[in-house]
Amino acid sequence: MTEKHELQSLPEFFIKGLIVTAAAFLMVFGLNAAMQGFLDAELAVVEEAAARAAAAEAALAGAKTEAEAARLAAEAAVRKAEQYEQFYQKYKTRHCYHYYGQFYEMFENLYNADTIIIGTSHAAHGINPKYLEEAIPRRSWFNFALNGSNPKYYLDWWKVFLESGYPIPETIVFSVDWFMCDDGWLWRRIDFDTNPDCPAAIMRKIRKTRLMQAEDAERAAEIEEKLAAQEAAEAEKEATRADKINWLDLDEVLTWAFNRIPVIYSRDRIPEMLGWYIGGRDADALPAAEGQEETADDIDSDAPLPEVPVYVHERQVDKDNNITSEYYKGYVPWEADYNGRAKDQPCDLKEDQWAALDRLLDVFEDYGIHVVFVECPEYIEGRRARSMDDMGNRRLEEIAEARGITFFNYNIELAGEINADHTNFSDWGHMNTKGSTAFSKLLAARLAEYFETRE
Amino acid sequence: MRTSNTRKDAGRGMLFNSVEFLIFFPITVIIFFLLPHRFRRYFLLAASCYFYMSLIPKYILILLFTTCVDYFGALGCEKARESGSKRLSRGIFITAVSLNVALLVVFKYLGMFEDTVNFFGRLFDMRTLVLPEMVLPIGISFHTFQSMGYLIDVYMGREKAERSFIDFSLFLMFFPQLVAGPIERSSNLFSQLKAESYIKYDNLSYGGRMMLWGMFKKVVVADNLALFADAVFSDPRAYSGGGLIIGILCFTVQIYCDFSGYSDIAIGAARIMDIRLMQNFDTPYFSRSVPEFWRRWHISLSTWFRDYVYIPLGGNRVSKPRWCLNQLVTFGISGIWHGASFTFVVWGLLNGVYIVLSRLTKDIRDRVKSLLRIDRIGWLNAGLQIAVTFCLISVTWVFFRAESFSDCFYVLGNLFAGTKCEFTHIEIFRAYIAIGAPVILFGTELLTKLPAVTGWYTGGTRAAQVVRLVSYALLLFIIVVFGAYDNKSFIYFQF
Repeated sequence: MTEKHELQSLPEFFIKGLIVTAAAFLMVFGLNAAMQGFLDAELAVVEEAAARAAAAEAALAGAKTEAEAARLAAEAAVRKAEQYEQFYQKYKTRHCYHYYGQFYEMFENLYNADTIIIGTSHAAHGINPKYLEEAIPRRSWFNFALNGSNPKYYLDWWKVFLESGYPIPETIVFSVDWFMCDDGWLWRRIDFDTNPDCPAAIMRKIRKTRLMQAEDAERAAEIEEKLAAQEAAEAEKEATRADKINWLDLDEVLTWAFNRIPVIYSRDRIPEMLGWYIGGRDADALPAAEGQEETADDIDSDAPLPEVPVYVHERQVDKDNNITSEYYKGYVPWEADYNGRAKDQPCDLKEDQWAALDRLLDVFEDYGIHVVFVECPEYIEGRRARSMDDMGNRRLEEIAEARGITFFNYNIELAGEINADHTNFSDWGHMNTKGSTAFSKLLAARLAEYFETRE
Repeated sequence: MRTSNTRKDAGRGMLFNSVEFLIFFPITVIIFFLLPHRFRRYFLLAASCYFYMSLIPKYILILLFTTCVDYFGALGCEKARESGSKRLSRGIFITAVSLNVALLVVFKYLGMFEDTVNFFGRLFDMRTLVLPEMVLPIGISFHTFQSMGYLIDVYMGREKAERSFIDFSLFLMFFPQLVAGPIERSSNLFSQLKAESYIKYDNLSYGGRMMLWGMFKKVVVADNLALFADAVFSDPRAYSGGGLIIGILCFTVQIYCDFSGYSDIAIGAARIMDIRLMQNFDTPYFSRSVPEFWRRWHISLSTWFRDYVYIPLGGNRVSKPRWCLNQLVTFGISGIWHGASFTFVVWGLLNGVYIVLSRLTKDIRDRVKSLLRIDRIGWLNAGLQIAVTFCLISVTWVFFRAESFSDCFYVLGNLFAGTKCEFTHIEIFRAYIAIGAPVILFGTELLTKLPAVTGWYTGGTRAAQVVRLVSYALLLFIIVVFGAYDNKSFIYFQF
């Protein structure tokens, strides 16, 4: 070192740098605390509703007469409906409400479907359980298809599914796609659903509240045990997640860290949060249900049994143009103008994803679940990566044949009018309301035949 | 376009907006200053190689090839000239330049050549030409031009050939300006790289500030606006009128912030090491004419073309028609430098046409302004000039960004057709950033134009010091909370 270095200025530079950094991070943490408060308050409202529902359910056990049991059961049903409505009201503005709705079903068992649909966004926006129920009423249906999900994702999803305690389905309608093994196209990872403030994490908290609410001593002990087990499992999972991180990959570390800072992962909600702090805190009341003039609290013992409220939702479209207000058992319509444009994009089917698909099918087989493959219609003229679709479809056919799985491919042998008309689509691969309605009816008829033959 | 591969690959390396660089840079600076002066160049060269190889390792060989060709080429030119053999000197010079150009052609323009041949081949029913697909090395146009500039200077006798291979390699590979400039001149950089560097408060402060400001431009402004620009230009026919205008405006600001942000970080990083790189942007969107814009935009490239293409062609000391031709040739070459596609050529030529028209219509415009008495109201005159220049430049960016001529014509032909501007998949929150961040950017740039404000801001009063620290903290806060962290590469890496 020579005397020309201005070393005496270094402390001043570092102190100023430190002040700037500290001030910036103070601002970040201040905003972060505000965001955490906002998110907690949002969840607290749903948790309160869940606690009321749990209390109503617990009260049912103490019914002394049949009439009282009927009244308490009706009241419990009302509370459960209110809980779901509160959940809808709080999470309807989130990015893709159907993710939340699906995990709600998984953890809160509203329908306990025996036949579920899994697959990608093509199925999430393309298969409406309403038409399947109409055609095959002896079965109960729920659409668990998630945007961007690939076989590896579903292997992880299955673990969450088992953890939730949802009844093992009798049949899975697996909406497969020729591109399903390209994890560039299908980007979903389970941490997108299990990270803090993500659907599965939220549902775990709500369930915990519900279980804690039960007053029965015997059940309370059982619940305590369950909770302890759940917490231990969560801690283990968190540790495993941390173990899996490559701490030398700084981008991965940053992603991991950012996913734990509410103001970063929920920064799109900053305007909403500011609105809430400034004046929107009274927006926790439920909207009036159809035909309901008094709340369940007002009902006295001589009044007729309370009816489960039916809430009418105003049209709600999310940031991705999903029509949230028309969400139905996991399905959500997606609307976008599409004029039949074709655009090629490279597609890279990965072997590890094919292997994951095999493992997934093994798991389903181990649980004795029947699997049906369905490939949702695409607008064939506008299809991306034209060179890859043959290869993907051929591979799927081979898998189906080897495992004896029935495969309804609506892009090859069953392709028809839907595929030829771009007005059925929001883009080359996603059907809009018109397309999904037509397709769901078509698929319902086909599945009705399938179940008849099988049974 | 083949360049898409490059952008994808660039995303995996050590970009200025990556955490890797956040670790790499301070370590490099600390070791650099701890080492005795005689070892610093070796260390800086090794660090630069590591930086470049973190992008795509094998490309270091291309850089090594350019370094060898131009190092020995320059020495050969000089030696031949000094021994009186001008012919030999010229021969060596032409060979070295040809090798540089050949490198560019092979790695950058082969795809364009193939597409052109096949286009005409189809007209005459000829067999399709299939050439091997080359992935574009990062920043090849920058270091090739920097190297060629040095070679030309030595050949012309304006500079002495560098004897030290290490110093010459460092001149080409100095990591802050390696992949996207500024395209430095040997006269500016050699002496600084050889001189002893010192830790200086002003350097640390200025460098840190520039890096922070560059980061804001890149991760907050450019990357958030990119969402809108990419949505429109990846599928222009999904938009009309308002949507297309928003797309163009977003790209206009995006490319400025992307590229000038990179330059600011490069200049700041070099300055911390006591090395001054040339200014590359001087608030270009406040220019009052297209010629002025080009004096303030990508200054290192504009001056390169001025000194090594425009002036050798005769510059402005020629007849008017020849001058027009010189301008068009210079801008046409500048266009092709930017990308291997004819849309870039049209982009360059359009700018050339603007400059030509700017001179040819000056008298008429002055007369109109005088008639309308606009020239008597200074602020109105300036405002109109800035607005018109901004609009003209924005139109040229359509050719720069669109993927085909058909897209260009669709965009320009439907600017006023309807108002459809639904940006599906983009959160409304991003729109707030897309509006707010440029307001902060241009507001700050405007303030820097006011001597009273800058005088006070940079002054030594306690209030000014507090305001400075608060503004830096706010900037850092905005970068952390509102930055886009999807590791998008810099647009100019592909050139």
